[in-house]
Amino acid sequence: MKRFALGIAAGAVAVFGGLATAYGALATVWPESLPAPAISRLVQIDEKLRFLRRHPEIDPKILAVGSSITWRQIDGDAFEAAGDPPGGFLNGGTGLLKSHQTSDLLDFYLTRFENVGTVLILTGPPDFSDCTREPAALLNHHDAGAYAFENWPEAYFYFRYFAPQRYLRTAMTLAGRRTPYSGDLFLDDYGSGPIEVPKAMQRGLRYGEIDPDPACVESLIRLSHRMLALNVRLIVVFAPIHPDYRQRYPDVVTWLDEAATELETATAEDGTQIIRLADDLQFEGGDFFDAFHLQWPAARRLSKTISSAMTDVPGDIGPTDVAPSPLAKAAGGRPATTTPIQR
Amino acid sequence: MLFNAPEFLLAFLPTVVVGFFLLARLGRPSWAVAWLVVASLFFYAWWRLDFLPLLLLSVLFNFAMGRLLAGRPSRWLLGAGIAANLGALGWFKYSGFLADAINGLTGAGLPVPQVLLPLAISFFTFQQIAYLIDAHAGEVRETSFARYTLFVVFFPQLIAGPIVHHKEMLDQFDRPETYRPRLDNLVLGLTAFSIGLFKKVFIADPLGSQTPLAFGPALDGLAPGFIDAWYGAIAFSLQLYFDFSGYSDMAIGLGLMFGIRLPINFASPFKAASVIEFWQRWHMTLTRFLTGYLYTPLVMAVMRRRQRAGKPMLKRSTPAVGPFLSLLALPTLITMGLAGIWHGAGWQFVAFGLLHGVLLVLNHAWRFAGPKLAPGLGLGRVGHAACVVTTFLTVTVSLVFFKAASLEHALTVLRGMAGLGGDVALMARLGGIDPSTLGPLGELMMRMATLQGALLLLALTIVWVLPNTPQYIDAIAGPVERRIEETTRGVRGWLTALRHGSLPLARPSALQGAVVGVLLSLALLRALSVAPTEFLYFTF
Repeated sequence: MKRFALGIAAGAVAVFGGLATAYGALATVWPESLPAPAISRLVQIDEKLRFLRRHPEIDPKILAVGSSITWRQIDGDAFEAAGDPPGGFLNGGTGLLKSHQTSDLLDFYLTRFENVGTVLILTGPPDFSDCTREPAALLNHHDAGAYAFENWPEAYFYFRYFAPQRYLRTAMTLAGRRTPYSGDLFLDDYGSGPIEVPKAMQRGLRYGEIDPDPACVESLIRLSHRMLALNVRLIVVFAPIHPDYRQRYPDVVTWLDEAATELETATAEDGTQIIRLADDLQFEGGDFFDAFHLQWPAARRLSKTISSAMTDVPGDIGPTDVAPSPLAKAAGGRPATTTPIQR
Repeated sequence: MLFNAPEFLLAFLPTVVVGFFLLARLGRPSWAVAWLVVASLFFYAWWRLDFLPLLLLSVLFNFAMGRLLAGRPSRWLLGAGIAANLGALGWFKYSGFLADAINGLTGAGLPVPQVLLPLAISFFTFQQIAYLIDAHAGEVRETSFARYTLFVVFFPQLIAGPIVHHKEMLDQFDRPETYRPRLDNLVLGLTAFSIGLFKKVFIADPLGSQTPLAFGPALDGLAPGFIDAWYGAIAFSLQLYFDFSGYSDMAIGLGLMFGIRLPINFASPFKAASVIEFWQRWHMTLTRFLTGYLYTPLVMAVMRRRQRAGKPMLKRSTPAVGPFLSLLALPTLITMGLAGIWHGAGWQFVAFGLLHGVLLVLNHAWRFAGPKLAPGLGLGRVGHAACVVTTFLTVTVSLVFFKAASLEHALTVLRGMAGLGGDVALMARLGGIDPSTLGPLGELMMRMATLQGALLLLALTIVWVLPNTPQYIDAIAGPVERRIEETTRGVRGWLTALRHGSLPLARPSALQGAVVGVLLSLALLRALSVAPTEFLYFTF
């Protein structure tokens, strides 16, 4: 029995040695196949944290945040110049987020990025479901901050967030998924996830009828009030929807339109800008690769449209040191600014 | 506190083990017993302090009743004791369900009580009812309150069993060697615990993330596709087995660390070739309780009535429908119906129990009628394998009721399993493949080609090919409960033993220890990990 007990101890030592060796080998020889530590519930957020860890120089003044509708459809070049002074754009968006989860992720960013003056959210129907059912927090803010911004040793996070099956599953396809413009985990210099999906890989509209959750709108309204308190300008863009989806699911589109109106009304005194592009005619069926996501060339056009809509709006877009206008002060905040483009 | 919780693994367990043997060495065994009682109550209260008084009250009441019954057996007193236990269980577990059911049937509009279910109430209630019956029968007599409390609250078996008899556990606390730390007990306990923990965190939990394929869409009333439905349902069967048997392994391992051998609770149930055999291998201590304290008394009561009325008994040589129905079918249905509802308050659990009752009755009927209907029908290896697979799939269908949130939910999943669900498989849609290009076989192949599919296949291989944990512990340490035939060493020994569903007795080697060490450290790392459950979000 003593030999058996010694064997147990040896087995334990072997596991730790083997894991350390595997980590060392992957980190030095095949870094492109090493998944980010599994800090969040989404591999897309983990990759975003890894991106931030590798770019400590990032200090955004304009911060985009939201689901894949934000993450995939923003060309940072179009916004880089919109800052005042120009420079400092980060796309903090990632996959799957619902509105309340976007809000939680934004809180995480804002505690780390002190110079953010403008927050930009692109949104669409999928973001407005399941806000009651799904948890808001997708990651531990403290650990995520320590990993992304405080340069704690990476190995510590792999042990603390030990999820071998998840790492193995991710590692098997990671190199391909990080391939520029075709991999779904590729991040450009701004943290955006530009992608062009070949016709053969497209799945039609992909989304069916979405069951909207009013709690998602309430979450955005609360977010708007919080941004006012922080003196950060919020811009919410209702992104283009595939014409076929609009035709097939008119109830969803109508609900979304009403949600936008409710948001406008409720945030009228916050200075929040609502840009409604859900039925923007410049985007045709061929521009989309599913119901809510544009191919990268069309996403770049969309970015320019939004950027110009932002700059067209009277009022300030820029760093937080710009004080609210006297008019805004008198109204308890900045005036709401709605830009219905081509409606 | 769960066995896989960091606070249990890092603080509670080491402290309690060290404290137990230290106190036994410094003072008297009674100090060590008291220490275990206090530790077990702390373990229970960690979840919710406000249910601790209920547990203590239940222990106090049943200890007093047990002493009264042992001193002066009385059927009325026994009845009152059982009624009080069932009353408490009924209030906490079934009052809401009952009010709902009455309202549904009669429209009475009764207020539905919102009662929080105390942890482990089903387990400690059944264990103590068995104690009262044994005390009434003169089989047990306990005079020490501390020892009785330990019998009920001993933390390895308090939360999820095994359901133990007073005698089989406390006799072990009478032995002086229990209070001496022994390397073999500690190492074997750690081994069983490691295997159980590994089963829980590396197999059961990841399998759990695959069950939404069947049960997710059904929550919204959408019947899943045929492959999704079966895939998710099988994933759940395996998840439940690895979760529950893993927990039982951990309980047995923890007991061993204290020198206590708890009864086996799972003996490779998915190797069963019939539903009868399944229940002889699945949650065995519950089956033992139901058989001993419910089914057998029911059968005996009916038998006595039939005897008095001069009616025929059930004979295997000349079976007749009447005796079969009253002496076997009816008690089986009643027992399994109650077993179903013991698992949870809801019509889906009643359906689960009754379905198994019907299956058991049919299985028994076949045992009676089969030899006459098909004389000379013998099962070869292929026939046996077919029976094992059929039993597994049948149990999988029944477990849909067990997992479902309601009867409607279960029926929706079953619609999918019958091929009446959506024609588009969820996984195919998420995987970016046009489902119209896949036949059912192609869809299945695509599913199995993933890591999750590989895990499912691995789990099936484990349940159908490998021995179970108690067999492994038996093989390296001698029998825990059942004697394993000593077989020859080498390949022949392994083959012979595996054919008999066991392992060859073997001296524990360093290599075997190393394998356990690997399982233990991987399982510990996973259990202590704070990695959140991943949203499996394909591509976008």
